[in-house]
Amino acid sequence: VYGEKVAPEPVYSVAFDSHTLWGESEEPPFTVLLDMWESYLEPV
Amino acid sequence: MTSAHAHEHNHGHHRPRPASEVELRAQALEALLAERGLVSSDAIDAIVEMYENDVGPQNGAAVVARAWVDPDFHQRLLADAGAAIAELGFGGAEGDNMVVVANTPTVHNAIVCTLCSCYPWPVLGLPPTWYKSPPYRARMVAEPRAVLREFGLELADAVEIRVWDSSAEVRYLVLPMRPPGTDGWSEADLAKLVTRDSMIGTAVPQVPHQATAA
Repeated sequence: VYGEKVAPEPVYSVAFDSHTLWGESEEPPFTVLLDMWESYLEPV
Repeated sequence: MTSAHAHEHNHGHHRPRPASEVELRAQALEALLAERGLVSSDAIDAIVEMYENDVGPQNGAAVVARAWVDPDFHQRLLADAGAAIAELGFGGAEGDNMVVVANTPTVHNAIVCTLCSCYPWPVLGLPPTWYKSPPYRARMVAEPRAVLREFGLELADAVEIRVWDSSAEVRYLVLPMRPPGTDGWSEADLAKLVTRDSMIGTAVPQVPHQATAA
């Protein structure tokens, strides 16, 4: 987006449960939504 | 002459202190660019003026107030934020791919950019310093409830917090809930309740006491 035009790539908002990301903590569970380029993702 | 120009524009910050290293570097760069004729001071002035006067949280507040009074707009805003926001005449750099996330009694949304300081300029203006600070960016995704408490926002345990990390192309705006006790308020009066922080998700709109007492 800055500078040269490159091939467009989809971005997905991927939701993670906080305890999955960080492990158990004192903070009650919450949701983190990360914007990820398609190439960051692998099929499961 | 360029340093005089730089002093004229405090970018809205109070600055009773000497210029920081970054500011000095910016001034030196601007001087060089102007000297070589790569940018004109007029162009820089125009951009600074635009972000000081025309582009700021008042734009986002107008969007939120419209959504509160107009259910059809509310729906369009959540379905295609960019198009709905453009209806009010706002758009441009750092707002090309907008997503609006709505707070509900059970979900509270908050925005962060863990990588840098991505922020929806056309509706909120330029980001506050704390939004760009490493502690906010690191802690908001790790312990949002604790961070929000430090902002003075205490959420019920049952409320799910959703932290949106705008680390790619999408720029997010929180649609706060309309405060109770504002039935029949005009769109303009409602917009006055909508603070910048309430659209980042680090606050919620509050009705001043006098207004609720009646």
